[in-house]
Amino acid sequence: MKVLCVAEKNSIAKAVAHILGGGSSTSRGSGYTYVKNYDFQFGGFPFAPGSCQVTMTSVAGHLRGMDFDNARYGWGKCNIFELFDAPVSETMDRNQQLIADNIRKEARNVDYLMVWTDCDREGEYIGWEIFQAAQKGNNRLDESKLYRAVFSHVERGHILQAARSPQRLDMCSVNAVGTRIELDLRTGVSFTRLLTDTMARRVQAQTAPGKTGHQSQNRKKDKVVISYGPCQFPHFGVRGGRRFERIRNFIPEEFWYIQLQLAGENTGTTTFQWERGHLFDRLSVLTFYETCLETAGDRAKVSNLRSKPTAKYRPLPLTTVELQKNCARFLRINAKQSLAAAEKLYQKGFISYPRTETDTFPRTMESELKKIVGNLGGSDSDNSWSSYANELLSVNNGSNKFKFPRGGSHDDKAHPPIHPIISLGPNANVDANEKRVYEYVVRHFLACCSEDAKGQSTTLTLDWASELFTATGLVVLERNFLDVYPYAKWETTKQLPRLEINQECLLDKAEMKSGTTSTPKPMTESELISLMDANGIGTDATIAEHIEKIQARNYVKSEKVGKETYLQPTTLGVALVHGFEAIGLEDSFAKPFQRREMEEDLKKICLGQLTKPAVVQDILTKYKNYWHRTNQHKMKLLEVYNTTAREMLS
Amino acid sequence: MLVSFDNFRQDITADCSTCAASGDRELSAVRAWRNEPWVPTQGKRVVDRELLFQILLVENVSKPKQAQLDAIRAKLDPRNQRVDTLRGGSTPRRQAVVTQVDLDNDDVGRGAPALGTAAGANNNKSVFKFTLQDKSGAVFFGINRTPLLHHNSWILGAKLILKPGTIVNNDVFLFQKEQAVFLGGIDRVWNENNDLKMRDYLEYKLNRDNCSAAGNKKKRKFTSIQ
Repeated sequence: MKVLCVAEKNSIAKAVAHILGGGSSTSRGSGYTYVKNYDFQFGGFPFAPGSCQVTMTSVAGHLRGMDFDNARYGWGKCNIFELFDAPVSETMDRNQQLIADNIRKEARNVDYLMVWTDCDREGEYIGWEIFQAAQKGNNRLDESKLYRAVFSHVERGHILQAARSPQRLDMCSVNAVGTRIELDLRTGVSFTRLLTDTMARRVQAQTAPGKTGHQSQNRKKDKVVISYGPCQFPHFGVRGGRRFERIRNFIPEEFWYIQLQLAGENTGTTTFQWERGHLFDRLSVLTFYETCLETAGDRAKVSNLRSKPTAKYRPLPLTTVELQKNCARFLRINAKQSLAAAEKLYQKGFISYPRTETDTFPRTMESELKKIVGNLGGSDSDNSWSSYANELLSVNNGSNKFKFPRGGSHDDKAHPPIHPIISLGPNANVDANEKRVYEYVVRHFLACCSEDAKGQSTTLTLDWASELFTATGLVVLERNFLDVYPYAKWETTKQLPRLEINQECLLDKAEMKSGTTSTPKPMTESELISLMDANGIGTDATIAEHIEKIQARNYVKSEKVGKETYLQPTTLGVALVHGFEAIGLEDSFAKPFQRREMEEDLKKICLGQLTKPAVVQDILTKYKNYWHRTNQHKMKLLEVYNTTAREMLS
Repeated sequence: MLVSFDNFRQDITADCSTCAASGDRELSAVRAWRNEPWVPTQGKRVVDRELLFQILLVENVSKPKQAQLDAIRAKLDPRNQRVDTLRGGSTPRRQAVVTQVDLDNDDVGRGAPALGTAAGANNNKSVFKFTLQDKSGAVFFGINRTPLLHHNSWILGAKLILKPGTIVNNDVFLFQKEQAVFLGGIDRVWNENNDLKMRDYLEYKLNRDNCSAAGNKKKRKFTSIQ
């Protein structure tokens, strides 16, 4: 029997071939430089008993694209509105053609096709593209001969298990991705053309004023395209609104508060904060202050003394969003780079599949998790966390022993949370970013498998003429997971003075102070990731792409201030958000509701509750209305652009 | 002319000497009205008789004006909501935009929004500054020391009795819950378009404070006991 296996990337094909072939696979060219074909014998497929002749190859992402016929529907060749209903065809670039040809050839004499693409929605769709390419070379291949390997990392036992228990392609997911691709194409192209035709000249004049002479020879190259992406646009809206309503219109406000200070014998000075926080009215605070001063002078009484055990929770198991967010915050690696590094680490077999929404480990993985902790503490591992990992599993006395990770509420039912698979040796072939991301994944994982940090918190309340003031102290008793997770800060504070309840004490200082509210900071990438996730835009795995795109499309630009990188909206970005608001389409375009609705519909397609044609028709009807409205009011968009450009310059 | 004190709608700066009153609350209002109004005095004093006031304005001084303004603007036009969340309001859940998340709260599940409740204290604990008017037309400020629950009584024109024992500091009344009796009462004209008026008022104050802050950068100094 002959079996053709096709992975999503060459690195996975190579790793799987190495495992299934028992280390004796032979490789040969495929016609495309970055894809190889690996031949080996394997005897574990349940659908093909006995030893099979296997060829393992791969694609390089999607095998085809979708577009309109350029001759009939190219830019300027048709009425833009026709694009909502125009026929679309599948396209292949040169590289995709080479890869498809290889699959067609390799499929010629095989009995079965097994898809080894990543186990997510896009992976299912790519699997379907592979199947169709293979069918062109072998018409005996029908859906009954098509299998799908389910795996989430390339550890040997896991891969063997995936080969021995093949599943079927999930056609609902295939349809959901097909729906998304078609809608993105139709809405993206029609709105990009409309916006570009309306605004490009004005934007170009504003961004490059007074270009003459030889500079104008580059006009074609410089041509501005106002690109509309149905997913990226709401992303920008979410944050653009905040930037411009809160930062630009921000007026600092003065506030006042009262603060007490008490000097202890061995504890130095302790500051007590007013329970009312701060008030935005000087007269009110002055009235409180003068009344207290006159009533109680410099004497206060201890009205409450509370001491209770407290804990700092270990992190939840790692999801893609958390990985991207925390790499941006703690390691200053942007979302795109951290996901790329995680992908590489996964392909090299060091970590599990990094695209996951799941933040809870199944109970059945307990022994596997212990094994991983053991591996991380193994003798070949000389990393700084290895002794910590050893200690977790040791039988020595100590408070911090392996504890099954706490569970979150998200489960994508496809992949476990991101976790290390094997220890990274000192000579491992990884670059600097991969090494740092790996270290983060390991530390996060070990923290998940540890005890919470424990401490004792004490709150002391002073009563100064019936106004209450508190000081809080913390004593960290057991650091536990904090020892391996330096990203979380939880430190013992200064000791509070030794006082008893109802004890009267002499104040060192009682002051009325003032301050002003400070301008909210622009948004950082990690904040944007959380916002996009909280608003249900994009999938965890596409968030990095979207952030990249809103920059490429010139809606935002990133600005480095000190160590932090902020995303600042551009004139174009602000003008588009405000322009769509001005024509009454803010809920559809400038805010994430429309996109969120579409993501929900796609999920319903995956669950078999909705069909592709119904969703496509429903969403296109809405976009047609938006398009008409935008077209009718396009002068308004220009007007808003001019106003915004003036405002941004002032 | 016999003026009814019914429902406390009477403007107390008008003559209420012949007001008809029935029921304990109305009777106490008339009694307080008959007392001598507060005479402005410097320093700390204690109220020694029941004093009747009508509320001209209530300001929440625990919350920044900007946050209050944003809330009013969102209430007047929900489409304008760009700053805070609309959760819990009349807007459907799916129309809520999460614009703030708390990155430092590790104990909250991923992406779980720390809702953008406007800065400032919990409403129950908020300090309010009341602008009060007595029967002579004199205007004073009042501040609550303890949480108040009578939100509905704060409609402009509502009557308030401050009882003996209330502390007065430089003519600012600092009252506790048991020292204040909110009687209700509404002046329809004063309360027309309340949100719009409050929006304009807050906008004006914010801009005024901003201009004066820009013009006078010097910090005020405060006294302190050492």
